[in-house]
Amino acid sequence: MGFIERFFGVLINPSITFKEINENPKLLEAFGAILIVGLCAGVGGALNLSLIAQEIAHPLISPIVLIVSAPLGYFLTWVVISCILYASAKVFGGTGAFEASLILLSFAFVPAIFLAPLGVVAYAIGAFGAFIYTLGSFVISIWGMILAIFAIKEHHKLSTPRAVMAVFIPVLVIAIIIFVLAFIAIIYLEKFLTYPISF
Amino acid sequence: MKEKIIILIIALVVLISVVVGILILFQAPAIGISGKVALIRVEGTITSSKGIFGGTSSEEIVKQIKQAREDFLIKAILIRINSPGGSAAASQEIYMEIMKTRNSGKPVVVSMGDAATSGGYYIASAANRIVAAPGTLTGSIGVIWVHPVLSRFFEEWGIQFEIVKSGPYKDIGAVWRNFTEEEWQLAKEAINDTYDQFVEDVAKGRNISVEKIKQIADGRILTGRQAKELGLVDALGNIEDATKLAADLAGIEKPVVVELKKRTLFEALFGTMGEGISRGIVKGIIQLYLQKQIAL
Repeated sequence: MGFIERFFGVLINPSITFKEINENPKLLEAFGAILIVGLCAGVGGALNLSLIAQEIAHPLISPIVLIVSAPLGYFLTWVVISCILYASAKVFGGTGAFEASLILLSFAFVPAIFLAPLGVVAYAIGAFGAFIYTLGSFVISIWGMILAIFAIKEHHKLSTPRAVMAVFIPVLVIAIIIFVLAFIAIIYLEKFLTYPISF
Repeated sequence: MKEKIIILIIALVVLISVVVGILILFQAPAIGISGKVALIRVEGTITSSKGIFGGTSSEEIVKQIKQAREDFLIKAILIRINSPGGSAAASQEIYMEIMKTRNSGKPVVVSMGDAATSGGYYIASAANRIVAAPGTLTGSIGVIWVHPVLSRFFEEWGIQFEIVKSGPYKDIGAVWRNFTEEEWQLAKEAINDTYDQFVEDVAKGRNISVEKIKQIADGRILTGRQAKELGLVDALGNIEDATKLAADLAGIEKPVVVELKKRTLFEALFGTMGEGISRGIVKGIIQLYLQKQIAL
């Protein structure tokens, strides 16, 4: 099975494809997968921003910066999530190695390639497209979580319920932490905004 | 075979989307590389710090002009003035920042609203071009020091003041007495000096001789049309005409006007709720982030 078949195989037949990847994991392929995913997600995210950023001008949201920064962000996310899920899998009795976990989990990000067509569709729809994009992103995230369960189950030789717990619990904890941090950040930012500069 | 066809379809859809997406992005007005025109509003009385009754703070306007000048995506600045004037120092602060921007090569165009008089015109004169409506009130080039004298009021209420001062003029302008002859002379000198600064800056900004400016710099109010005849305004038109002029000066075909201003948290998060929950919230978060940069 070549890289292309592995890359798209996780979307069509995840069980067989992850089994095949687990038998012969290749780190270079993992980097390739994240690069492609990051590029697609960058294009989708930038298109979505173009729908919501009509009144904003800033170098940070130029398309070049967005498209280049997305793969970098995905690399970082991939490594961090792999570390967390590896530790979680070990807690639930996993037996796999870190490098192979890292490689298998990179393919769990593949559904994010659909962010590019989703971004184009959202852009075509217009203002409401941003909502569609957010909804689609949520579905893609769930899809990615399911693929991560396949990856953990296959490599760490866990039962399906244990693999689900190994992925779901840390994701839930991260979601709660992000929610709390976002809440604190908004309250913190509000202090700066109370200075009256509105016209 | 069936799987290969599905893979091919997915790959084609994604590839075409990436290519189309990139093409859209580089032409999309909002975040594409097409130019933006920053809109900055100067409304009400101009002072250094914003007062409780509104008006414009030169501190904030200077920050906004600086931000627009340093943002490489902003190709031109449009300043909408609707102000009767204000403090000389505050007007000069804004004038200086506009001049810096003009000298940097980034065009600045002023669009006048109901009025851009006195300090309002002071600011405008620094721009590359000025656009006013025929009926806009402008001009009023001059300086005034209003000194209210409340001595009789204090007498009637039995209020007296004990004054201890380090020099004879330390309480110049005090409301409990009139100017002395010497104080009046000193005040007049200060007013004349400020007036000279005003006239010289307007002459420099408009590239007109000081002598010619002085002929009309007697405090008189002018309409936009009169101001154009005298060379104090470049063109008659509205804010759209001014935007187009700014875009032309910057060489932009389809300008996107971006307003540099702050909003409250509520406005930022929910002001665009009608456009979709997702749009409003994400937009709010981005604005909060960017506005924080302006505030700091």
